[in-house]
Amino acid sequence: MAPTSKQQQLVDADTVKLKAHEQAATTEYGRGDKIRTKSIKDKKLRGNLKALEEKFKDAAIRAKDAEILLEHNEGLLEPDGPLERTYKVKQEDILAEVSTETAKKGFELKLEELGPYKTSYTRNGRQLLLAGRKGHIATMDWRDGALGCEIQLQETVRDATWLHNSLTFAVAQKKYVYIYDQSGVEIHRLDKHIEVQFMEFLPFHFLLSTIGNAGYLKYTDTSTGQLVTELPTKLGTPTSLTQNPHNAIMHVGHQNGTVTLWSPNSSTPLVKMLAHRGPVRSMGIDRDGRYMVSTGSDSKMAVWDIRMFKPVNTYFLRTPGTSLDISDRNMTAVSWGTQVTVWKGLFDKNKADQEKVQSPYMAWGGEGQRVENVQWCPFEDILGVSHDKGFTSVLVPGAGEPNFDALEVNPYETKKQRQESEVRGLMNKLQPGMISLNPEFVGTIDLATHITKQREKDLDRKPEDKIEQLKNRGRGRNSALRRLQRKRGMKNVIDERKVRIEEMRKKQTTREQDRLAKQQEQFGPALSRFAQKGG
Amino acid sequence: MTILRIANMPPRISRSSNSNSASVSKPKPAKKRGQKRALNAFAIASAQNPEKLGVRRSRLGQTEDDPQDRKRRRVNESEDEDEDDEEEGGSRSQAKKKKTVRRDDVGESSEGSDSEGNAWTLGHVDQDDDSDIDSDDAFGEGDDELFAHFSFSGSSKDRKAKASSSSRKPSKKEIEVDLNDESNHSGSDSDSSLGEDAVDLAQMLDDYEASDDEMADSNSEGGSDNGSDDDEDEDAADGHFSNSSEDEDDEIDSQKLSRLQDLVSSLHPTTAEEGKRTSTMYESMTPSAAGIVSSEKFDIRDILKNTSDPQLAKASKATGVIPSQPKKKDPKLEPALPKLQRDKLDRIAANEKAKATLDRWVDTVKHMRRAEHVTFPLQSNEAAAHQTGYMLPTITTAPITSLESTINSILEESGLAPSQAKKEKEYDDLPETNISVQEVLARRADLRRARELIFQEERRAKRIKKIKSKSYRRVHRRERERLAAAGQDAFAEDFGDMDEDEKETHDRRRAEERMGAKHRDSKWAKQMKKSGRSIWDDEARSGVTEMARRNEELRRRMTGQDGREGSSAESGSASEVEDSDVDEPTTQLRELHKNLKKLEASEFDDGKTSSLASMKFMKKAEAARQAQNEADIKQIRRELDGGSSSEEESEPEANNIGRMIFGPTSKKAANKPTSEERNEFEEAEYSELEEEQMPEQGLEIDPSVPMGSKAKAKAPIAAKRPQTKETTPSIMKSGLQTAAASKKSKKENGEVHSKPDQAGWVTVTYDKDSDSEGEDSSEEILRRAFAGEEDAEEVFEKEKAEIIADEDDKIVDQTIPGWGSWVGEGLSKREQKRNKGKVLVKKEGIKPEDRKDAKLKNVIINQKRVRKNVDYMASTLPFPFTNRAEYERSIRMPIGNEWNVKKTYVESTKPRVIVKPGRVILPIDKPLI
Repeated sequence: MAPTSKQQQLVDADTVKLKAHEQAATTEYGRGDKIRTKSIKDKKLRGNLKALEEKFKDAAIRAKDAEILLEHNEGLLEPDGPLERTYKVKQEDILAEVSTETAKKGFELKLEELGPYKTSYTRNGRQLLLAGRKGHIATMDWRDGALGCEIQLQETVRDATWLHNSLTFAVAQKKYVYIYDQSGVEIHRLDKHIEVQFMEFLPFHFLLSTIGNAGYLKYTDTSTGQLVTELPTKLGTPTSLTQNPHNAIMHVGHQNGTVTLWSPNSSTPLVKMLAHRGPVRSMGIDRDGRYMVSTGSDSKMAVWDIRMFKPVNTYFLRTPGTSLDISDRNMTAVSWGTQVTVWKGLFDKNKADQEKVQSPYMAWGGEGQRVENVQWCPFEDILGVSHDKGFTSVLVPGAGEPNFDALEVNPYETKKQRQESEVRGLMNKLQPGMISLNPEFVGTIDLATHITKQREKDLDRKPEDKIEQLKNRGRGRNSALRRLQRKRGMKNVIDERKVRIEEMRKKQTTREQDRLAKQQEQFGPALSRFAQKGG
Repeated sequence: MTILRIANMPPRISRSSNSNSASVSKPKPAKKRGQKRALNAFAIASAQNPEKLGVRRSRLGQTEDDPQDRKRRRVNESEDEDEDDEEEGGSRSQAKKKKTVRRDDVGESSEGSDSEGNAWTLGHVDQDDDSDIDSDDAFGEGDDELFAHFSFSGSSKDRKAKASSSSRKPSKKEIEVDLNDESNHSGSDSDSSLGEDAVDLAQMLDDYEASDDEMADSNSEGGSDNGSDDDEDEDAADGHFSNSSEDEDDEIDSQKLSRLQDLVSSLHPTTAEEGKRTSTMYESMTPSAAGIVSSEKFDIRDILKNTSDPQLAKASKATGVIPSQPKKKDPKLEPALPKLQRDKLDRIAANEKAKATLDRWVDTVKHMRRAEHVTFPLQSNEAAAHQTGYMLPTITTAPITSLESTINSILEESGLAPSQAKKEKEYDDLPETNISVQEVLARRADLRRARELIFQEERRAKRIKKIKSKSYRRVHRRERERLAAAGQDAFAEDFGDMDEDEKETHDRRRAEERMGAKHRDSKWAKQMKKSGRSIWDDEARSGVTEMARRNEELRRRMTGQDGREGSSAESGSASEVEDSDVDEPTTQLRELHKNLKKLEASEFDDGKTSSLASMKFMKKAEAARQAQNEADIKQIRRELDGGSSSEEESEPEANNIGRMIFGPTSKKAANKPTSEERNEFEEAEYSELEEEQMPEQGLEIDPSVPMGSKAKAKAPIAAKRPQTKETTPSIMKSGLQTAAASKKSKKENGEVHSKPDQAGWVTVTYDKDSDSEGEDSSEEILRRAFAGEEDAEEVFEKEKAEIIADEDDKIVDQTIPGWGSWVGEGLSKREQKRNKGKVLVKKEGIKPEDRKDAKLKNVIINQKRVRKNVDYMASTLPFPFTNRAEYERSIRMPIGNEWNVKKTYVESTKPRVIVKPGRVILPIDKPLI
């Protein structure tokens, strides 16, 4: 018995390896569990689903195999011994160590007069937008140090953000929101967005969402220019706004310490949670949309699991955090007072229990400049820190995503590629109706009961009158009414509907004839022949 | 069948003019009629029911390639029918039966027809399948006469015989005679030749395969016809009857008969076949609008060709018939089928042919249909077969294409690839192991010794294993089980979700067991019980016992014993000493319980007794006694239960599988780990405590406690023990433990305790390094700073409560205002109040406990339906899917190139049918598979 079972258990080493590989691939790239195809009775369906499962598996394995193309590794600061602390490393030390090309990335801009500045990077991390409180707007390709445009608006600027690419940006000014093009020419004024405090742009939906002093969250479709929705938060002036990059839900921080989650589809917040004991100063959400880190006036930094809506950990900051951002590789930069702290491993999606981090990863500042805004640069190990003395680009090893997908966002895109990606983006634009807490709901089965569905139907709706609709249609040579009459057939059946059609047609023809006669008269006897019937 | 025949005979006999054969056979004209009818009927029937043909064919075991033959036989049958409807059944009967018929016939003739009706119906039932009968019925009497002469044109062999003696005319005359026979039937009832005939037939049937000549000899009249019977039963019957019809003629005297005999004997030896053919000839007649018209006319040559008689030849010459045409095959014997039928056959054949041709494509079509992508023009089969998609080294595989082989040869020539010869040579060159014989022998001996040693060791181990004491065994078994359980748990943790196969098998086993118990309350079981079939039916009995066994096993499993193990132990494999030893107390208990049950049962059985017993005082006394007994039994049972429970407690059972039992009894399960934990803890620091603890535990385990009324009292105490145990030592041991326990909790607050000194004082220091302390103080300050008039948390909770209440189930008063207010203005408050709440409707909402945020603090989750999202959802399950999981799985994976590798993307978006542009797509010329 023993030898046979052993033989059975002895599997080829290769197959074991393959199996492990498959397992790794499916856990990383597979979407959800397999379904049990064995129990399906329908033969064809069973076959199809089996093939599908096989396809899914192949896709996952191939995706895993394609990891070979991710050739760049993220860097990291590692202490040599237990006594060394990474947060004690200064920028100068790093700049001395790294290559000159990388060292060039850490730069400083002295902008002392028109600050403090708000910053925004484009999605590919190429362009930088600086918006000073006192109306100074500048765009630049920060790598080359090439200035795109520089304008002085001579008006309070509260926020500024890039739209879908580096060609347009929106600026929240004293009263309205304006959209400028790359050369700084004002192209739109969004006069529905009044006294906007914060702005966020949803790149896949082409929605610019703003929230003003009055606490109205407004969505504007930047591809069509229409205002999609206005949602009153009813919680006064907001203190912060951020978007969840995973599901396009807007998180609004309020004065009373609550954070509300909004989608353009519901007039009430989807979730409301009490995160802090004072105004919520800033929020950041990780790329996977699993964790939210927020800072409040209670000098706390709270980590939330925003899928379960459970607090994970709370950290203490010496002064209330003013700005917060989470990088692609889940590094959290938080600015408090004159300092910036970068935390690593505040949350880890692969861990069951999140541990409380004892010390930060990196620190910057403490030299007298009050930090206004921190922003990570996509695909770079760079943190853009704007403060009352200007702007500093800080090198933070291991912060950015080292491997970019040029098909999605390309930091080195050419003009042509940019144009194509714009068109592609517009064609793949997601509708605002698709925004939900669970973005995978699209296509799933509506589980509402029949009663609920019936109740939702507007039973008091007026039945639409087709004839009336046709009447108001733009007329051509072939009258829509006539066509309807023709289509209906029923030559010998005279009902109310037919009578109405007939009447209406008669009216139309008389009107037409009148018009013709009038025109003929107008043209005079010589030119009357040019009077047109269908004009 | 025999009865049939009997019933039939009399009427026919009465009609026939023939003295001897009348009783058996029917008159000729009747037969003719039959032919016509049969033909007609057949045409109709075949039109209605074409399948019949096939069935018949196969049943008779005829060769399939001769449809004509089949047809003829069929007509024969119908002939029989016509002769006499019931007769047909008889005609199909075995030869033996016919014999008996004959004999019966004799008797019958004297008795007359008494049981006719029954026989008829019986005959019909037998022939019910044949459509011929219906057609016969449809054919009226008048029709018979109308088409009478048609039938004559195609005569039977009887007439053939007649014709041989005379020219063509006499045969016609005879037909007429035959016709007359019908009317003369009554006169020939009591024929002496009946007996003869019977004997003849019997003989004929006995010599079933005798030669024709013999037959002819044995038969007094129309022996040639008898010959036609030889092949099959039916034919035999037919032939016989046709013969007998000939025999009917009374006028034929013995001289003529002898002449005929001569003639017959002079016939060609193949007469039998011939006769047979002629008898079935009518089949070939084509039904036309005017009725049945035989396609072939009767030809005298048929008869004359075999005669050697010069007179006959002369006569035939006179009539213009040339008998001497030597024909190997008679063209008349292959008459054309009626067109209708021919067409049908053609169609069937064509259909089959077409099917066969099409079937060759089935695989190809299936393959194409199942293929994910089809590219036109199709790749040729061979190319597809070789296209593996992998680049294989040419060294390992033989070259397939010509290109490969040429490249291979070039490589070989240039010395880049190893040639075949070289390879072989290399193999030969492998160094052989040069070992001397002695060495080999020595090695073998070594091996043998080692094996011997191992074997001895094993034997010893076995013996030692047996020597072990029972208690040793018990202890070890427990340990083993615990280990196994732990291992299993670990395994389950590690590979819980990975090992699906095992899970599946486990599930299947469970399902099987459940299915095994399916008969428990089934119809089958009830029926078994009711019918008592299990008494005599072995199978049923085994089923019942099996059911009972399974039932028992399951029940035992439910109570926590391993059914399989238990059953095996019960079934008599007492070889496992250890098992039986362990089970002893439990088995004893069970025995006791059983006895108790019996006792109870016996008491209840006592109910029906004598009249004395049924008297009042006796009943009273009986009742009292019963009550007493019951009380006693209860007492015993309680004791038993208590004893067993205490015992169980004292020995924590590791192998307690099966259904979990919740409630108070589960405490004992909780008991174990706590004690263990404490042991571990104390062992580390206060090892001296263990000794004091041990006696306590020993006390607990002590099995010597006598079972009885005390056990009852003991059980609750034992249950309570865990709590008390934890507290008592801590009190006794000068508070050491409390300090230890509180250490943990206090440490969380940043306190650090020193070890207690001699006086028992504990120094507490605060950990200043931890930032929690600073946090604490500033937190307090902040709390105060942001407190406002109300705490934010309180406000939030209030809001949440409001929302919960708002979305909860609500009772809505739908009473219409003004309802019941007859008097209008001056309605009192009381009246108004009374009218409220007349129509209350409960409006379903979300119950507080069902809310998503029910267990979440500081979170309110909106549970209203987002209607705008509904537009992007499927309202119903799309067709091929049978449940939600399947459907949602099918759309789970994105196909866009943002999420996929290029290959996957291309594959998933590739069109199903690809047609290469600018190529002519020809139809497939041959099946690909």
